[in-house]
Amino acid sequence: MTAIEYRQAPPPVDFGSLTTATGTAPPVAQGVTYERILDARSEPQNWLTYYGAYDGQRYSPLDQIDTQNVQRTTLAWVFSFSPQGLHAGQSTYAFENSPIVVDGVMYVSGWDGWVWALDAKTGQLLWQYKHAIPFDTSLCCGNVNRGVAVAHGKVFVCTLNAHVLALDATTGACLWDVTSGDVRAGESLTVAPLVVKDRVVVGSSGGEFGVRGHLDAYDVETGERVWRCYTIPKPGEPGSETWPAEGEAWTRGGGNCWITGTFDPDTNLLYWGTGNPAPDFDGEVRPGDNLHTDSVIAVDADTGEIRWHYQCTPHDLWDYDSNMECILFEQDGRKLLAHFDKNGYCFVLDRTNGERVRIFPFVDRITWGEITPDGQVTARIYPDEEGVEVHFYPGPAGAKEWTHAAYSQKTGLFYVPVQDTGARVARRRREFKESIPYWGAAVTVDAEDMAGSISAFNASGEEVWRWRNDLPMCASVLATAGDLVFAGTPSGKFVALDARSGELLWQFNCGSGHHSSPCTYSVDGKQYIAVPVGWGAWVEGFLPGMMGGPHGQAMFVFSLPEGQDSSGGR
Amino acid sequence: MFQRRRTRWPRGTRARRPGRRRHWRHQSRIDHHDTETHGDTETHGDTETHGDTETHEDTETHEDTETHEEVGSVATLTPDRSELLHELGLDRQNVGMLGRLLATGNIGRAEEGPDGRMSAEIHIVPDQLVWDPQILVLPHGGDLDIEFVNDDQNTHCALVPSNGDSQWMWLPNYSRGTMHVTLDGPGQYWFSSNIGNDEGRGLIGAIVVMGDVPASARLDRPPQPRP
Repeated sequence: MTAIEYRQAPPPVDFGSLTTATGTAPPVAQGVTYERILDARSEPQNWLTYYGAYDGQRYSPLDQIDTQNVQRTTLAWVFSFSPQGLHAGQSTYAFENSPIVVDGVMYVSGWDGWVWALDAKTGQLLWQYKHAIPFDTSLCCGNVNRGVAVAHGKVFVCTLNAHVLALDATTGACLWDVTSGDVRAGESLTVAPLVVKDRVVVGSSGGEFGVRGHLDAYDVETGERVWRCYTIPKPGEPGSETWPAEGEAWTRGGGNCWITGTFDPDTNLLYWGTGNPAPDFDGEVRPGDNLHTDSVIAVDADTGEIRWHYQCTPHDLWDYDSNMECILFEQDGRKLLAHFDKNGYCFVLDRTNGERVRIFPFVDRITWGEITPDGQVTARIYPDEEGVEVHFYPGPAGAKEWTHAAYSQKTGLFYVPVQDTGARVARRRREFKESIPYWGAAVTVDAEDMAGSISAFNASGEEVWRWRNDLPMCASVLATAGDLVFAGTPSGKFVALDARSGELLWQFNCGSGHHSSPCTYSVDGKQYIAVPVGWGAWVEGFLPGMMGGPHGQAMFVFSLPEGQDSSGGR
Repeated sequence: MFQRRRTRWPRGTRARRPGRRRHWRHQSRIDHHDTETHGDTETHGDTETHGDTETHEDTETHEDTETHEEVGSVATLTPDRSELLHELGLDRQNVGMLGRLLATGNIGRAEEGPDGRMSAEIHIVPDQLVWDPQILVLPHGGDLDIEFVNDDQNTHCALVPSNGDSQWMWLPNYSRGTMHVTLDGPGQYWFSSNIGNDEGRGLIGAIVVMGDVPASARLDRPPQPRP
């Protein structure tokens, strides 16, 4: 037999080198400082932080595209991406990103550890980073990531295997990498980081696996952890009296911080929402209010201490996380925040001290219970007896899930993506085991008799208009000074509404449902609207009637037709 | 309670692999590399693996394998799983199904150097469209050098996850090359030959990273029960 001579294979390469990526981005992020982010709205050409500004309003002063010309808006470019090989959550990945834009460069994170830098004018891929994500990572709600933070020449991103990374904003090279959570315990990270001063703040995911939620701050230069704030108190700590004195319920209490918070430099407080208690639906194993689950917590940005809290759903039995945004605004000289909760009520609080100012419902059907204007909570329908099914509104995805409302400084209105969907839940007790879902119930969400809307409310809680949609609205809203409200639908339409009347002015079919956060920016004086499109994630929770909807994976960018440059790509 | 079973591989049933250096050890064998091989060995139902298999480079291979299976353990493989896979033709190409069932290939361990850097050698088995080992086990996260060897008479490639960017290389017929990857731990990472339908036919493998996250990343709570 003749011996076979083996040859040297061609050398391995970075897979990203086999794309059109140029490899480098202009060093625009070098000059992004805390001071610039503080004053982000003074540079409306950029979208410098997750909500556009620390106040969480998702409002842009850009007004080139307005109610008079939005009908002429056309597609400027598309960045489309699809994965190679197998990845975690192959059936549940979604493009939940909120793009960051700095002086013509767009920084985007995708599912499964992807980060891209794009030319914001042409869509040209500049660089890409890929973190290797274990296929078997515990993910309650899909393979998702909601965005990056950019400052000090770095791009900060969290990974599904609970790492926090700092990437070089010009090349995508990893500068530091810290392990923030325990994947064996069921922890992951999906949050978009928030840079405040010289720290990058992130919160953990994993409430459905019975972890102990926490918020962490890391030094932007070194990755060293500066503080950690557990949302569930240990025995003897403030709030521990709301947990059983005996047993280990607190150790599995949930209360995760998986959505980016807001920040007020005057109070030096981070306003962060916390998630559901665990187990989600079996309250009998955790008697008490279960602080600080389902709460707005005000956290000292320097020390990580909780200064005050407001619990929206004490002793939650419906999976009503309070993670969603706290929009900071002023009214009659008071510094307030507005928080549209899963439980169907909006909470307006004095953000200096947590005092309740106003509570009002923002969805038609609320049957789980009632919260009076003075904050009294009465539970009416909830899983109680073992195996006995109950039906309630809103379902566990809430009247509004994590996707964000917007607030227009011009109109003084809040624009809220509303989901009006019920669910059937039967308590089913189970033992706690690390990394295994810890719901304590059998759950099926309604796939019919549902509705959605973009609803506009004034700060007094009066509904001013409603744009109705057959399906629940499951994507964030963007408000602009052009008196426009942009929102995506589960069927794939991206719509522009008149901010004062709710009239539909423009729409574009993106081919896949929306479950992300659009933004706006300008390059060379030309305004663009960017929206990540990619249906997926916890669809069985917020809209099972669209479980079969097409996954998408593209960034769509729109503008007025004059001067478009779609030359990205070689 | 364990059921013990001894399996002896027939002499000369394993093909010699030209130029092969072994950086990994078989931990258990749950498939066949060629259609002549019978008398497969067994897998184990828990993490307490016994019965290492030592292989040799020549045709006089003797592979005594002693494996255990915990009876009554939930979600373990049945004692006759390997035999059934073989009987149904699911463990080799174009017998029962068109390709071969994923993750039915060999399991191997990476070797660890004194500095913690790990290495392994992974082959593509002729006409079987399977990595050997198909499941590579690392004791912890970190840096790994993989020498890929294509013993097949067709061109394939290797796409392997790595922090920063996945690594990709051509693997023409009868070629070998080394790739460096970095993986966090713990967890399971898929690699594949991402051309044609190599993946569907069987050229998908797993790199399994064992171990725990650093103590600094663990929750401040007492130890909790696991499944």
